[in-house]
This record gives sequence, structure tokens and C-alpha cells, in this order.
Amino acid sequence: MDDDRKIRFEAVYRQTYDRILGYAVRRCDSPEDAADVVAETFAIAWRRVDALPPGDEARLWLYGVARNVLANHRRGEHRRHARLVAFDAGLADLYARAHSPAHDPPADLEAVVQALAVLSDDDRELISLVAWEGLDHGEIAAVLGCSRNAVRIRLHRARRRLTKALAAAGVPAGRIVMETA
Amino acid sequence: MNELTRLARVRDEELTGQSSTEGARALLAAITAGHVEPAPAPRARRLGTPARRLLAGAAATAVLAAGAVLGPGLLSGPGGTAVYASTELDITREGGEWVARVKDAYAQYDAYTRGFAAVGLDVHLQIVPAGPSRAGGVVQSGVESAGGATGESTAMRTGSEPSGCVVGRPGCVLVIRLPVTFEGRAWVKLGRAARPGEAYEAPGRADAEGEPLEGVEIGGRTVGEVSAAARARGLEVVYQLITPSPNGGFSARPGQEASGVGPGWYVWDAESIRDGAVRLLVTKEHLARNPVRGEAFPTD
Repeated sequence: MDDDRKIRFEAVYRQTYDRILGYAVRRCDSPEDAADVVAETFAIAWRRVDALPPGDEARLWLYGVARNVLANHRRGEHRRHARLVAFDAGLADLYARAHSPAHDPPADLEAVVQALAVLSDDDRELISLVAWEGLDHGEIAAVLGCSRNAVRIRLHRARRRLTKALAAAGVPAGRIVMETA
Repeated sequence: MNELTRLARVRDEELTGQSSTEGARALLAAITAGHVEPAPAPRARRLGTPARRLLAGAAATAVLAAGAVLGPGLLSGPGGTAVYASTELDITREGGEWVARVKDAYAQYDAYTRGFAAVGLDVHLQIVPAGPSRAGGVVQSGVESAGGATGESTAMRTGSEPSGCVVGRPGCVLVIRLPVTFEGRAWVKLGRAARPGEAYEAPGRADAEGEPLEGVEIGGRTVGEVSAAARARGLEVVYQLITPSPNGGFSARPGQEASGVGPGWYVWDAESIRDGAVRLLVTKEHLARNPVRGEAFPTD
């Protein structure tokens, strides 16, 4: 019985690891924070493996978990001293290779970074789920645990606020494409 | 590509295959073995996933009782007090773990090995000079269990105290934890800040934060462009010829310095090799994909 759970978890882990890693790396400033978010997300998934939905829904479910873990992390409700050596080394390497556009944006993106910074966390997360994870309304609804219609309305409002912030920063809103399906 | 996408630190496409890396496998093994168990949370959250802490992190950081240490030696004491103490490192037993705190990152290799051996551990710790971006990080590590199985590197964990400090800087203590049941051989190579003029045994990513070419775009540019940028920063430049492998990655024969490198050759990566010097990894031909860092370079 335990073997079944393990096999199932390992399959989900392999299918979704890249995506959850990407989610964390794009939102965390340090490899240590990203490592914590990925590790805790999957640790929760392992504990709740019986609640893991099948197929691609597992990925969306995990985004939802990762989002909560990240929020707790930002509130400082999380602390981790001990490290997994190989895992941390991999993350550190990834960060060393990656560029850090939000901190050192190309000249043409500085205004966009500024505009995003004035949005609320919720608005920024909605916009990021579209722009970075490439999710559509239905998928975001699954991540956030709300209705598709609620996502449509919230995203509409978030976009409106972003457009406003961009205009204030001097960027024509037409340049930002962020609607998917 | 739109602006928001360009703001992403990485794109998912660039992470394909990450699930089979050693790190990902180590995490998977640690989780299913129960080593990274989330702790119960104070209150429930949306999606029914309570806020949790990693048990691994909750281990009490019993601070070593500051006592007079009279040279290296085994001291008997209840859990949490030093069972081995020297000027280079202290080893204590905390719960189910051996916890080694390395106070002197510049000590001789033997001094560490002796300390670990004194408590019955076969641990080989090397602390090597590293580029600024890798100082304090793990360069290489591994575990060989008593049965001969290798790779169970999840058994060993490292960190620093105060959390996040750079090993090699004053006041920063390197912490290594191993289960008391551990019976194999472990080795770990860590980067520390280099002394002035010291060659890095672990070269840094030359364009990473704190490195000499921070902010300079490197991959896919010509030798002429990158070396000009390096020289403008007062850096010495050396070259390493690399051979891309058909299935991604590359090989490089150390010492195969590309004689005859021209300004029209291409640079795929740059490493800091000591203070004031960088090594450019080059090929003669332009490549569609960076063999070192993986990103694609469509030929226009």
C-alpha cells in the first residue's frame, strides 16, 4: 500500500518538478528561498498524496500549495537551517546561471518592473500566473480554488490596475500582452 | 516575446530535465524517507494546506556551551555539549544527529578529518578557494554508505551560522549534520572566500552577482566583444576551447588553451579563476544552442 503511494508520488514529482521549480525560482530572490518553497511544497504533497488529483490537475494543485508556502515564507512563518547538499547546490547553480531581470532589468523594462511593484501581491500573482506559468482562466481557478468567473473578473481588474500603473510609468499599455485563452 | 515574460528569471522550457538532476533526486529521496516532513500548522488555509515548517529546520540549534577549550580532545557530556572540540571544529550530538561546526575554514584538511574520526565518522571535508559567487556554497559532495552504495547524499546536510553567512569570512561557522546512524564515508568540498591572489579551485560564474563581469552579456557573443569588456574592467583574459557534445553539454580538455583564438570566435561562458582574471570558454563556430548554459541562439 505504501509502495503504491510512493510510486504515485514519484510519478507526480517527476512530471511536475520542473514546473514547481520554475514557479519558485521566478518568485524568490535567493536560491535558498526557492529551495525551501520547492522542498516544502513537495513535502506537503507527499503527506497528502491521497489528496493529489490525477493528471495535469496535480500540477495546478501543486501551484496552489506552492503559492501558500510562498505566502507563509514571505510572512516569515518559515525557517529552515538545515540544507540538502545536492539539492541546494543545484539551485545555487541555477541562480548563478540565470539572469536577474527584476533587479537588473534591461532599460526598456525598468518601467514595467516599477509598475508591477506598485500592484498588490494578489494582482501581481494573477498576472504572473498568466505571463509566467501560461495558465488560462480555468487553470487559475483550479490553483486559487475559486470560480472561473471570479478569475475573469479579478484578472480584468488586475490588468486595469497594471495598465494604469504602466501609464503612470510612461509605458503604452498596448505593448503588454497578457491575455491567454 | 512580451515584456512580462522577459522579466522571468527562468522560463519553464529552460528547466526541462531538471527533475532528473542529482539535486531533484536527493530531494525526492529525502521527502519519501520522511526527512523533510512538514510540521502541523497553527491554522488551516485555503486549499486545505496548512502552513507548515520543515521538520529538518526545526532542529533546535543548541548553542555550544562556551567553555574553555584546552586543545583538541573528546569531552564527555550529555546531548548538546561538545563531544569533540578543537580550534578548527567542534562536534556535538544533537538528538539523532552529529553536528559539526567548523570555525576555521582555512585549516588543514587533516585537522577536520581528525575531528570527525574522533567521534567515529569517516568524513572528508575540503574547503577550497572559490570565486565570489560560489564562496560559501557546496562545490561537490557525496556519501558512500557502508554497503558501498553511493549517492545517498541526503544523509548529510550543510549550512552556516549565522544563517546565510559566507564561509571563510570572520564569524561565519560552517555546519555539517549527519545522522548518528551514519556508517559510511562522506566527502564534501566547499567554497570559501579566496585570499588575495589565490587561484580559485572552484571558479565562479564571471557574470554572476559580485563577480568581475557582473552584468556583462556573455553567451553567444564574440571573443572580441567579451574580451574588450573584460579588459575595460582591467581583467586578464585566458581562453579554453570547448567541444559541444551532440546531445547537449560540452567537453573541454584542461590545458587545451585555444591557441589561435580570433576575435571572431564565440564565447559561451566565462569563469573567474582568480582575482582579476577570467577564463572564456570558446568555440570557433557559432552554435545554435549554448553548450554550457543551454539557452538557444537562433541564427538570424
